[in-house]
Amino acid sequence: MEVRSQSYLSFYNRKSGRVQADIWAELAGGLWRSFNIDNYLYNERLGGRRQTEYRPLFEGVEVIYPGFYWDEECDALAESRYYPPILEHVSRTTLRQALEAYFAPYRGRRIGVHLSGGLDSSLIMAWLRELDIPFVAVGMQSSRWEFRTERRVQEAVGVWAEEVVLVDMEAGDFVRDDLFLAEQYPDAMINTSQSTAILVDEFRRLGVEIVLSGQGGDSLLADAVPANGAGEGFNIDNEFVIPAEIDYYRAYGLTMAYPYADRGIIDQLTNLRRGEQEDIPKRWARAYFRDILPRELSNYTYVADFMGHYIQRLEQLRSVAPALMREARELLPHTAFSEEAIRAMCAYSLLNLETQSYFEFTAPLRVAIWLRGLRRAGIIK
Amino acid sequence: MRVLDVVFEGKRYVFSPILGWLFGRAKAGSLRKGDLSAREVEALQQVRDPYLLTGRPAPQRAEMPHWHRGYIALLIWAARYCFPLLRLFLLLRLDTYEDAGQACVAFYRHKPDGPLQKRLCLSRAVYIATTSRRFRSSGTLFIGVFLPLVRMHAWVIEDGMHADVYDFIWINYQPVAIYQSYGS
Repeated sequence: MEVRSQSYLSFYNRKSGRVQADIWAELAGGLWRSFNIDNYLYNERLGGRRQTEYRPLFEGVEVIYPGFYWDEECDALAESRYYPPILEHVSRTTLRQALEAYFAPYRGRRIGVHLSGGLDSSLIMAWLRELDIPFVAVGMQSSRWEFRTERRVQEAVGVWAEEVVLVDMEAGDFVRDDLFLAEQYPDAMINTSQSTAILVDEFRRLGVEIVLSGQGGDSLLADAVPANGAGEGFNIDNEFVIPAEIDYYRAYGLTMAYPYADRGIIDQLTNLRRGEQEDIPKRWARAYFRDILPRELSNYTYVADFMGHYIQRLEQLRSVAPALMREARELLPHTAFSEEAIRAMCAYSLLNLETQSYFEFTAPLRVAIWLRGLRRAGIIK
Repeated sequence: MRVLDVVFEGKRYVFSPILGWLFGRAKAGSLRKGDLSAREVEALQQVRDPYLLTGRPAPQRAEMPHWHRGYIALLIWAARYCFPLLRLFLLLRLDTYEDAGQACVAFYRHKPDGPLQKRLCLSRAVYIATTSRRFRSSGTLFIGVFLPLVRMHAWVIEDGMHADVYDFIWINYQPVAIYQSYGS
């Protein structure tokens, strides 16, 4: 059966009153027919940090997302948040101790890091270098104008790696077969599936065992931190980890790891940043780690916008959209898959950011991709 | 105003310095490099390699002359509806502020609305170019495009520093036109 593991999900079955690991049997029994597209579109509009406000997707079954649990008392989804303790004595020394503890299990293993050209992953490479832990780096490269600054950073930090592989970001087909693996609910990484696949291929070719990701740096290095008190805390499994990515890498024999999701590192960085305001350019981190970062990262706050690249990939998806939507309409009649909606999608201008929302384009497609995946796997007959 | 050809995916994009529009043409062309002055070449190099720029120190606050409010209103209107008029405004040398950073802060203080500021980049850039004392000798106004999106942006670099320390998006825009003032 061609399915995506999605082992990071669990489900609350209202009929049995129990939490279960998957709903494949229920889907095969026809649960997919009860999929509520309107609620799915509503949830997508809310975004990825408001799951407690989500509306149900299936009749009688609640999706329990990573970082959340089912509160039986409240009969609702509840969030698991981690509140870093206030530590009196933090310094570069205590941070280094936390880093050494985190990386200790990985010593002697073949480590790979995604060479994105951004601060978060570059900082991980700087730490590995400081701890004298060898690693290889794989990154995407593009000749696009907006990525010229990333190229410079890749050159600057790439020299720290034992081996560097840069793959053309524009290469390959965006619409791949593995986009249509069966899932329990629409969760296809249509934004990044192609680049993820390429990175996995290269890491495997280099014999990498552990891949380190900079996910979570945006929260840990940019969010405001109160001078006293715990603040809002973090939903680690939701903000610092990409469970779908872990699943994907695991399917190919790779372990995905997220240093910024480690509680020891979270405690150290949070306490080092006590009293800092919101810092989207991450100026604090650039200054604090100035001695181990190249000047391109310590002295500048340049960040490329990936939207141009992303739109080019979405254009590829547009070519298969009408067929996908019509297939979906046969299974789940809904205005989102009507001929009018298809015409609107074909006429949709991805180039006009002023008046359009990409959600309008991608959300119905994700449902259509999900339905095709279930059909391909024989779950929908 | 110097127009620069930009080629993207086999298509040539040309900015009209009269209409203020960007046209896409099927035939790719090339920039006539002999047309650029040394100062223009240096300015473009700073955009191609943003790591040549240095950080701008916090500018000292300066009071905006009261009549500038009407001037800014005209700039905003012209930027939206009458680009040729905006070109005429670019010829002004008001020499109000010490440098581009000060002029930029003054504009923000006058029009503090955050979301609205995103749409005012061109009028803000022209305001900076016409009111900074140093623009004449060492400033460049850029108009850029983020391809394939239909988005444009304008900014000023002066003395090897970006005028606006809070402009985080300019890096994504490829210049299609530049303007430098000449003479004293």
